[in-house]
Amino acid sequence: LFSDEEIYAQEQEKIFRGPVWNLLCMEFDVAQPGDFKTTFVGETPVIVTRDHDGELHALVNRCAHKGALVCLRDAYHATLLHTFYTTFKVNRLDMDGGIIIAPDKWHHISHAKRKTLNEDEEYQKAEVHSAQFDSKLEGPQLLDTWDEFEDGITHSIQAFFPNLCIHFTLNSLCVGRYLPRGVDKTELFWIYLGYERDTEEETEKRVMQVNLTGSAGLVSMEDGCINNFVQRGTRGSEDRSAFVEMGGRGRDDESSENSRATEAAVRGFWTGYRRIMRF
Amino acid sequence: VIDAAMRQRLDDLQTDYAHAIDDGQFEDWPGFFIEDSRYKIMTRETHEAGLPMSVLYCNSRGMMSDRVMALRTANIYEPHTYCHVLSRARYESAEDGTITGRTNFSVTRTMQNGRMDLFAVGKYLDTFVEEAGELKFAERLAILDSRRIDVLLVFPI
Repeated sequence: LFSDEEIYAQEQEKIFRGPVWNLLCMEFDVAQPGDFKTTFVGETPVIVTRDHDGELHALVNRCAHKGALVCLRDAYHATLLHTFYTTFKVNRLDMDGGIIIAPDKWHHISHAKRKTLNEDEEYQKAEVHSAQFDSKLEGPQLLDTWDEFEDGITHSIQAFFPNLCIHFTLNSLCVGRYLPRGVDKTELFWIYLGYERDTEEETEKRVMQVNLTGSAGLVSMEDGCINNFVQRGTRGSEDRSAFVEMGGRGRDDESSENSRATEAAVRGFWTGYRRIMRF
Repeated sequence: VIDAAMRQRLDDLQTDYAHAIDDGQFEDWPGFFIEDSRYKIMTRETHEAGLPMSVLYCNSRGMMSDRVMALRTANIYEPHTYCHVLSRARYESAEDGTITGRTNFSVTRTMQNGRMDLFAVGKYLDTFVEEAGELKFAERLAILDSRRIDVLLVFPI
């Protein structure tokens, strides 16, 4: 009883998600309209809020899309918009680019050309998260680049099923490997490369651009914590589904597309996963 | 030769630096450096291999200010604080008037929900210079003993 994980799971199911009362928080935690408090019912993350009529509400702290924690301190959800990429025009959906999906759907490559930026009105309005950042850099050398390849592509992410990712951003070349470390842990390895023929200046720029990606990356630091939020947000809701239908619903009718505002690549990954796992 | 008064000033600079970060006064962080300075976080593995790759790299105060702006307004992360504990430092003076130093550090990270982790241990390799009568960092390398960073690194070490 005190060490059996199956019984523990049943306790979560039958008791905490069952017909019992649970203390969520104190009334003073949400004293004013608009206040909120993050808490738990068993393992299920919950938010308690007070609305502008003074009424109290509680909801599961999980977004309807992929199940990330919605609320830690401020409400946010940014699995799609990389704030730094969009603000500093490194990689945005309003550049020429696309996504190429392998015939078997398992792998894909997503790419963009920085010089083809054609600014969307939506980015100009202060409605997307990126616009909160004043788009001037005091250290502009961060984005001091040279054209690495002749095809104009300045950003490409190539994902190989199941856990290898080769990415190229400006002049940053990296092999990413994602190793499972248990049911709720993944370790990301970032292997950055340069060429032996690189000049000192080129090496300096490649090192400088590590500021964009990796665990302290102005762009990619969010990737780690967002997945962490999904892992935590879905605790206690294992019977619920995630929503992966941006840009289509198909499982086998997926094709390469020009818009990168799509989850076609994610659906492709799960196509491979299901085929191997026979789910 | 580093006399007792100079040692005191060097120690004070390092203490003020750590306290500024631990207290969340990130706007003060670039001011501990001269304008033309370098701040790098590297893993011990990379550093000992003689490779240049970093986890984080700034080569001007402006880049540090950009980091602060990003963490205040753009980046998404779970709220947390650091607590730096510094070792006694070893300082050496060079003939050109600069001073170098090594100080070991450990950084405990506390999350909003109370979870505490030993986030980083390692050593600072520093170069100090006088600027307008004030001691500042010309270079600060933070060498992390571990190559693994838990989730993300958003605040400077």
